[in-house]
Amino acid sequence: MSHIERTIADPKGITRRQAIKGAATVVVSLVLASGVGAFALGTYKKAKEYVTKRISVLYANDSKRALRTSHSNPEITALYEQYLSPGQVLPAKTELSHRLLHTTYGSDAAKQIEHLNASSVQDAKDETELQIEELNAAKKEAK
Amino acid sequence: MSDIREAILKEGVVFINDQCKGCDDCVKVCPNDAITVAGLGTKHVIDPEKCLSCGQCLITCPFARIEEKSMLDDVRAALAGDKIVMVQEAPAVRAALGVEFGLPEGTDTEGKMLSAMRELGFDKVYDTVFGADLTIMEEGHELVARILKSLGVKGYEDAEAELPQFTSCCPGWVRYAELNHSDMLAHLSTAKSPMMMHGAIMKTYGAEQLGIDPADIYSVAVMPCTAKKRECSRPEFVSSGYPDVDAVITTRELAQMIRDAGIDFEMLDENGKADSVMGEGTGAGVIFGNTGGVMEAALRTAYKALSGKELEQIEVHAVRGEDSVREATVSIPLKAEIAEAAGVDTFDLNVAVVSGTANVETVFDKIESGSCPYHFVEVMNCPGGCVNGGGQPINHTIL
Repeated sequence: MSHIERTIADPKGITRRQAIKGAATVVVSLVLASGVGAFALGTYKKAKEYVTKRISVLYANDSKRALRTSHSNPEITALYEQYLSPGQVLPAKTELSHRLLHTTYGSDAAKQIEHLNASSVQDAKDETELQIEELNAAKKEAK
Repeated sequence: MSDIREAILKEGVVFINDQCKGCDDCVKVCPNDAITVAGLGTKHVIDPEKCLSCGQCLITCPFARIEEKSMLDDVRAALAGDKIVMVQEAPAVRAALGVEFGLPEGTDTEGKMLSAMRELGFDKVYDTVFGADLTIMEEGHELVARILKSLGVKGYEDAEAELPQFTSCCPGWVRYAELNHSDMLAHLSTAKSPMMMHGAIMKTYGAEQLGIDPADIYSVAVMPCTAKKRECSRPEFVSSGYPDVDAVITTRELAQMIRDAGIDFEMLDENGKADSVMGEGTGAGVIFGNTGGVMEAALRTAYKALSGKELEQIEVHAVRGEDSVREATVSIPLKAEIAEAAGVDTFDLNVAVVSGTANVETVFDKIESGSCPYHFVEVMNCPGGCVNGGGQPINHTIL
């Protein structure tokens, strides 16, 4: 009696149905295990890949532009000359820059709010004008 | 303050819904250990006291069970109302918006994005790249002042003192620093983020240029970032006398608006342009969305300020890449008047770039042990930078 015949015929051994089921379970488990692994790895690889692609978009966008430095932006220069530091480009110097473009962190925020509420944008403009006048006077003197 | 802003400040932006499977993927990506687990397989909860609102958990959840609080209703109401609605879009938005409309990763949708803003009915379409350039002017010159002070140059006695200077445009990182390193905050640049600068300028200079009352302006920002919703809600951002930015929506929410309006993304004009006088941007502002981009943009301008010359090689490849901590040294020949005042001819500017907030601890260790060689450190919360922000299109198959 061959091995297969014996298992099919012997009621004490496993039935053909059980054998198929068992084999199927093993196969499905293997497929799932490798599948999940591949999926997890695949997701990881893809994560790295899409980030790299998005990064390249911005570098390519930069390299295509005629203007590539912030200080060469004519609208930025105009903003300083016409508003933030009238007549010149003076970043991070005037009261208007300070009020509109700078902030504080942590527990200093409360003081910042108090300062902003106690004064207006117009106050900052007035003070900026004074600062510019002083600067110009100092420049003249130096000459 | 609108209810949504208050709720965001109190509860944070992102939350895990009741259908959470308890799988732990969110816990692994949280940069500040803000997600608590009661037991294996139980619903996870985000602690709003610790949450940075960065949304890395949201874009990682394999079951899409993490959601964000939305200001979309406020934006829609503003668009339907009488106010002049101004909008700005962050650099990283254009690098991924197309994914929501079936375009492959790696597609630049700048023109279409700007065209979409007009189709949606925004009255003035600006570009955060302008705000980024402005940030570089302020933050770059702040760095220059700190360096000149350290060199003992006269006239810089009042400058902020601490070196290294850290970037401050990433709200996830700023909150991380506030929560974990409150004694180090003087190291952060005082410069606001591009979004907040742009908002403040819209309601002051912009209002003047257009001859309108700032009270009539409603300012919206489209961001790759969920933390920006929390940032714009912070009560100190009222420098214009009004909330400097009224509402923030994410790249995903912009896509939702485009779909809801029945706009065919494919048909949008790819040559869309932003409006003057707050719409022009340079390449330096564009790369803000990449890890290392803020550093590179700042180097281009700081080099000019210190040497009087443009960088010969405008692309600073040493700070590019995706490693979690990267270092570089840029040797800057000082221009005559600075060299004379400082008593040295060149300055070696040591910089570091940190991708993924928690990796900043290596830099803090160096500061604490007194062995920190850096003058300037860029930190971005999300690995890879804003292009991989928590507000970006989700790129993985939801199970």
